[in-house]
Amino acid sequence: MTGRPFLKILLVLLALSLDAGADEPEQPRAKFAWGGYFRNRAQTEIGLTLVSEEGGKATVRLVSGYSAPIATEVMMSPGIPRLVSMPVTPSVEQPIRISGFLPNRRIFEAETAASYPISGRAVAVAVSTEDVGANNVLEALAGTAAVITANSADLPRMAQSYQIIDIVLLGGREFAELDRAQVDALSDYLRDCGRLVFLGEEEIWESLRAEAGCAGAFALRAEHSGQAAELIGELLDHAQPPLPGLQDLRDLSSAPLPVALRTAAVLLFCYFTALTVAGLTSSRPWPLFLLPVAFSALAAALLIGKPPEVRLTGWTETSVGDENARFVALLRVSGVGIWRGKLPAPIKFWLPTMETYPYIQLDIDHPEPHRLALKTDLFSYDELLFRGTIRRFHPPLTLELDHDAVAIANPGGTTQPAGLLAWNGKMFVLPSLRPGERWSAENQAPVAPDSPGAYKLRPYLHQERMAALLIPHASLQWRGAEAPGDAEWLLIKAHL
Amino acid sequence: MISIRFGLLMALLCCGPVLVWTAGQLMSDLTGASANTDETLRIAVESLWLVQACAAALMVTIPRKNDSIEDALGMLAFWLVPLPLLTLVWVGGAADGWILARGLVAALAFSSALLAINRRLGWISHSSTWPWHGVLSLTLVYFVWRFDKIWLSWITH
Repeated sequence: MTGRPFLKILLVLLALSLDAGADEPEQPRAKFAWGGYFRNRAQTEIGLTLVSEEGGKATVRLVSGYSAPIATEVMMSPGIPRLVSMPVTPSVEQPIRISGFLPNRRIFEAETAASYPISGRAVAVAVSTEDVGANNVLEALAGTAAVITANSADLPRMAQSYQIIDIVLLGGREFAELDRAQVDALSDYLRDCGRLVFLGEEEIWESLRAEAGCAGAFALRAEHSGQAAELIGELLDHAQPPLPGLQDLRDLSSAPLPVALRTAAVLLFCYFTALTVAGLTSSRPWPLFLLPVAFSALAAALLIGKPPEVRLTGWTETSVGDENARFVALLRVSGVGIWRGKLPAPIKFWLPTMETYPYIQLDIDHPEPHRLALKTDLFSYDELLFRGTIRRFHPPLTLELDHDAVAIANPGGTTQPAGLLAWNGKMFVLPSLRPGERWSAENQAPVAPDSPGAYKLRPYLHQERMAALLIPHASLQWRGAEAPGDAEWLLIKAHL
Repeated sequence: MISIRFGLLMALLCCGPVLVWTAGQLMSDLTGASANTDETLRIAVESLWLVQACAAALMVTIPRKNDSIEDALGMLAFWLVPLPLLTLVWVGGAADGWILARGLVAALAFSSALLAINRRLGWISHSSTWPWHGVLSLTLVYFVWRFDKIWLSWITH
């Protein structure tokens, strides 16, 4: 009998401990990149810090203004905060809804909004504490750009989040505070010819400059904050070289209309012709009844079970002396069913719009495979536009000046296909080059090219001492057997 | 053969504009970043059924003097002509096969009823049936057109 009160006390204590667990604050903390500054409908990112007393799998689902809902699963260690960065497209009108559950199955739900919309003017971000005098920059750039200040912790962990700003002023001390993901995102931004003024030590600058694309034309180092303001003004006056847009890539693509649509159109045309002829000439009724049934069966036989078609149109640009390359790629999936594949290695996260995809699953813990599952119907297609950079890119051909003419050599071990060269106001056809072979534009007759990519060379035709070579080249390395067949182009620029 | 040819001609007249519109819609869809043709095809099928139902109601205007089997075959030809288009819609995943089958059965039932009414009117008045046929036809067309959402939802849901 003495054990019963003890048991009661034990039960009360157990209930109290469970209750205490229920009140434990386990809501994720949300923090936007760039200190909450955002452009309406442009991608930025949100960092969610999750804490759980239990280890295991946590799920986060995020719905932002103009992008598809995104969900992710992350592994949590007990009591250790876990930072999860997710892409969002905030809008002024709609808040961002965060929901999910922690390993102990506790549900969390919250709404948040990015704080400071920016529009119109160019935006310079001064990432500073003490080294970079934001006030100096602000004064110097008054009227030229809007200057916002941010801490090193506000810098994004995804390269796409840099698209809302025009230039970054970064101090050496702040750079040292960045984590691995932030450094990777900054490197990707630099390789994409992003504008940067660095105010810090020479050693750090060397490593940053090695990452810069466009031969380092948009990444500069300043000695002091006054010079930083001048350099920012200079860089903002220079437009970054544009990559082809969606329509350009469509024009470059050799992809015809979806095969199914053409098949259906031909079938219907043949059917109505046959029906009209039969209706006019036949003296018996049976052909008129047989034709609809026969063409229906033919349509079903031809179109049922057609696997999805995937086509990729890629454009990669690099300069001689540049160790990096930028690319833009258009992936088009058409047909019936679900296409599952792995994206080319340089492609990381992306954020399609809600109209295209109802739901996206990110694998935060294993971003490497870049898996993608696309579902389309028979007469439908979807297009995804990717943009990114390739680190340590080695062009297959070299360009150099030889007796005032461009000489092109193939140092590799494979034959390179024919291409086009723009040099000194003229266009030349470069023949296919075998391994070790060399070709010179000297004494070659210029041509009026009509290939699909030729018009992209026109901007380089009249640039002094600038040679631009365009060749078909698969720069994006597809892993696995799902490599789609279509057009991939490589543009190599050289100041000679 | 006259009824069958007439049914075929009417079906071609109904299908033609719908097909031209559908082709135009699909081509304009293809210029966007994402072509989702389901909606276009669904609208095409519903428009086709509406136009065909109106045409079938208008055909009541014509007094029947042919063999009843030939009339039935003419009606069958009228509704069978768009079958390959419906098959494409089904294969494309824009509509369920059951919905299309239900639509076809409803269309045949509707036409059979019209055919029966047409013949009944012929028996009532042997002198001049045109006014009766005309009034009935216009009434039917009005109801088919006015309540299209309702009867289409019976088929599609």
